[in-house]
Amino acid sequence: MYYSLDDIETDGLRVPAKFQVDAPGLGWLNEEAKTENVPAGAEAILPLWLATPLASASVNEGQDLAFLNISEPHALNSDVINILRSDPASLDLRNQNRLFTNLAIYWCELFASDDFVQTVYEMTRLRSAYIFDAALAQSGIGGIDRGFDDYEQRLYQATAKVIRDAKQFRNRR
Amino acid sequence: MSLDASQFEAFSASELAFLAEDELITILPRQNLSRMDFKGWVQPALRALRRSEVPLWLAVILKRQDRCTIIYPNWLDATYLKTVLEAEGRDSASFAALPYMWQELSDTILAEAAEDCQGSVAEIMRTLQELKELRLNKLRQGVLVNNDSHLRMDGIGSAELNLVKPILSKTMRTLQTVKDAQEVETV
Repeated sequence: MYYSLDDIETDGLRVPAKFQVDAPGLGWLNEEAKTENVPAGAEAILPLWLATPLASASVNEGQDLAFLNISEPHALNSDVINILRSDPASLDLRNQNRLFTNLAIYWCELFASDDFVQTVYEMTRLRSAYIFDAALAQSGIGGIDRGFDDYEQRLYQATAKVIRDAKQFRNRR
Repeated sequence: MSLDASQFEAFSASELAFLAEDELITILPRQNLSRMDFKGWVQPALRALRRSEVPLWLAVILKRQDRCTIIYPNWLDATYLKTVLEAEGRDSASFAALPYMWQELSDTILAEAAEDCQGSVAEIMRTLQELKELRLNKLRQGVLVNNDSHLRMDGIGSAELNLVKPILSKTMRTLQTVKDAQEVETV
């Protein structure tokens, strides 16, 4: 079920996936290879809505082998995660992905380790303080909040609006 | 006409000022005024030069008509506010005790009845401004220590609460989603 446009868009983000079994007739999934069948071990970039069920369902009941093996999306590569661990405020999320926060939460729900969840948790918390500061400074979109992803921009706009409103009301006389 | 989405998240500053007008405040009427019947509430007769408590909005109307003097609340006083300012600086964990709507009340009273002030209006305003900045800093700390389960800001004022309402509530919701993901994972 979808509650927001961002959820729909997040589902459409693509991740690198590796086929674990031969997939006859699915060559069109792998645009570069241009073959009719996909052999086991071939790689393809698939949207999350397709890759997720195929990675969690097992080929034969009772076996661990799934159709696909997903690796992390480019936006969540280890370099990015390391920056997030050391200094969340300095990272330009928007440059990684417009839906970074949504993607990170999606990834948490899918596969992530406790360590990764903790990193995302801290990122959300620390960056909210960073957003609040930006809103207090009324820097505006394109100011120091350039690195905000969509979720953070909405947060920024809601906060900046109440702060601006309070300021204007105080100066009305 | 539908309500703007942002209005679900926080009050506007004028709404807060409107709500603050229901707070009771002491006035010194300059003339006798007979009892006033309002919907759901009765304002007893006011006697000249006898202190009475009336809602702020009525005090403002009477003041504008020159029918009363507004008695400043105890806390709206430069000396008292300076002790509050000191307490504010000492205790970094909570906000010093001021009325919940201190910003709205002081704003209205100082604007409408500056001449009734016993002390220096400029000094009161300056101290209020210092207080506001000190407390804003505490608000920023509050946003920084936000988490998914627990939020505590003792003594926060309504105007201050309003500033952090959107960011705290949304961030808490997001943090809960992240936390839930972890709990599903470990089950």
